[in-house]
Amino acid sequence: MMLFLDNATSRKFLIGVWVGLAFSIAVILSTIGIMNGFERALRSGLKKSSGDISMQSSAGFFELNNKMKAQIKSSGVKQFSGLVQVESFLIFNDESRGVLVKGIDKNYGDIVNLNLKLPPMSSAIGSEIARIHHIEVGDEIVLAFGRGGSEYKNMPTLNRFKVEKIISHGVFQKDSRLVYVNLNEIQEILGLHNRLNMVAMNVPFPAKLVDDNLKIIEKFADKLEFNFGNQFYFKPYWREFSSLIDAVRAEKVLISLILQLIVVISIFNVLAFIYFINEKKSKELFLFKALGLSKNSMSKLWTMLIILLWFFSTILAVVFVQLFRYLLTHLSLFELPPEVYHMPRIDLYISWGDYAFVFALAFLWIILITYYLLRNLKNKSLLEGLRQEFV
Amino acid sequence: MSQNVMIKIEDVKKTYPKSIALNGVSVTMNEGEEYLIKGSSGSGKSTLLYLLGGLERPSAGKVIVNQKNLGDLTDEELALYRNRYVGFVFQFHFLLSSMNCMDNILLPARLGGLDTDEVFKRATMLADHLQVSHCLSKFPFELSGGEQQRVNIIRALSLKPRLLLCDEPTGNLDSENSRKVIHLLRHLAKEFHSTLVVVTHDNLIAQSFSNQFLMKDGVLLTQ
Repeated sequence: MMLFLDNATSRKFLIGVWVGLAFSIAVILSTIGIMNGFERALRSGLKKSSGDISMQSSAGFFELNNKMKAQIKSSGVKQFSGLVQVESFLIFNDESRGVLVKGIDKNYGDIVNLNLKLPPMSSAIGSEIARIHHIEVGDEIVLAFGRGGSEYKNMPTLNRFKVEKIISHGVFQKDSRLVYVNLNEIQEILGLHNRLNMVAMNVPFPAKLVDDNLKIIEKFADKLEFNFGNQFYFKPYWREFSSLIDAVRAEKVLISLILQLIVVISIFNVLAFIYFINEKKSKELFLFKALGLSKNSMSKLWTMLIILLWFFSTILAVVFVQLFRYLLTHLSLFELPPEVYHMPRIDLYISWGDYAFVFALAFLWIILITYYLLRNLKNKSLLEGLRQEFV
Repeated sequence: MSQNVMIKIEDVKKTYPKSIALNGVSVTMNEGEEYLIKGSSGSGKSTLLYLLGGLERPSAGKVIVNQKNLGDLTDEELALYRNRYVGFVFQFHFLLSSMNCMDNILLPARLGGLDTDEVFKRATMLADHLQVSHCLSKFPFELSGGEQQRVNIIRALSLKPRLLLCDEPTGNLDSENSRKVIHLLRHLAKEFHSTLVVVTHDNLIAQSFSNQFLMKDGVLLTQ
């Protein structure tokens, strides 16, 4: 190593090559991380608003009788909760907006992993609704439903609810639309008796199968649909955003391939470094050969240096990624317009597989390109190198 | 003095894409003797020396050293041959500036994976003999040209080579130092029973050698 680092120029060059390679690897990892993070944040937000699978009837409202409950349980579903989901208008301080009201029972909060236990005639509203209309906990809102009292059947019914909680799902569309009230209260307002129009349910997951969960959920949904017949349909929680998620996945693959160019470009810096050392240190290199170092040993030394360079670049790349993650989650510059991206911020998510894929590909490139370079250097005449020094 | 044949060169040619360096050279050199090859610049004398040292391979012909045809050796075997059999003294001192003189001297032993203790002792003894003991812990740039060349000679002899090859060893020195260096090389080669081959264009040095060759346009002529 002394040979490569015994003067400031060589050291600076090596540091530049190292940082350049690390940065290019970090760019690819961060891009993959952003795309994964977007998908995960979206899925997580969507799961918070509906559970793993939602069951609806083509007939609209239905009664969840004991036979149906037994059928759901026999399918392997451990948690489920019936609810009523209807469109409504929220009115507050002379302003109104269209919202989706969910009438929920005490089990629903466990399914979506949100604290949604509500006292009588109270509500939980999405955080964006609260922000846009300046609603705070303790305020009273009015929800207008499309069914009047017995004398005013074509008129809306207006109902006051106290805001008990402000809920964040992490998805703009949900936070700006959802309002939760107690199931029995909305059933009474709408005259539904015990009828529902949706059942939210969670499937049990085998341990540590996070990425395979989606397939398990889809299988469960198919199985339930088969068991219940055509009258009911079962949707995994991401179904309404599935085209967006598919698009993100396709983009991830394409961008990862295109970004390989950055790694290739930075590997040219590595090549430049090898040429630089060979020219600048030709006297020393050829002296080593004259004193008994074989061409193969020289190639091995270079290969070892290149592998070390790659290894330390991967470590620095991880540091760069963490730095980028910090900036992404803390710097206002990186806040996203939520109306466009559905969520205000994205965190990076990079799996071990992603790390392995990017590191392995960088390794492959670096080994391939340096192999050709070293082959050329091996063929260079020893005498030629020595003479260059004497001239 | 032994009369065993150490080097046998048979009709060796060395060609480069645009020139012919050696054009059918044949010569025999005996073990433990001294040889001098004269010639003008570009005559091919250094090329012949590097072929002998296993730094280059001939385009045609055979270079046989101690009954081994160097052309038959693999790259690894040739590297081992350079390390164990050959000591090089170049015109320029060729010492690594990043190492002190003792580390420079121990370099062939370290590259050959040999025990450095014995080499260290030999180097210390030689340094004492060549009056450069005070230089061993210094870096090359702290030494005069003559001192650097003497350290270079110690390195060349550090592994007791059977073949000591010197390419213009006095090319960078004044006449007084040149005379001293040549005297040292001849004396040490005898002491180590090494075959000495010196390449030079300096006629003053040439006068003292009994075995002389003249290299002209890639052909070796006996004097």
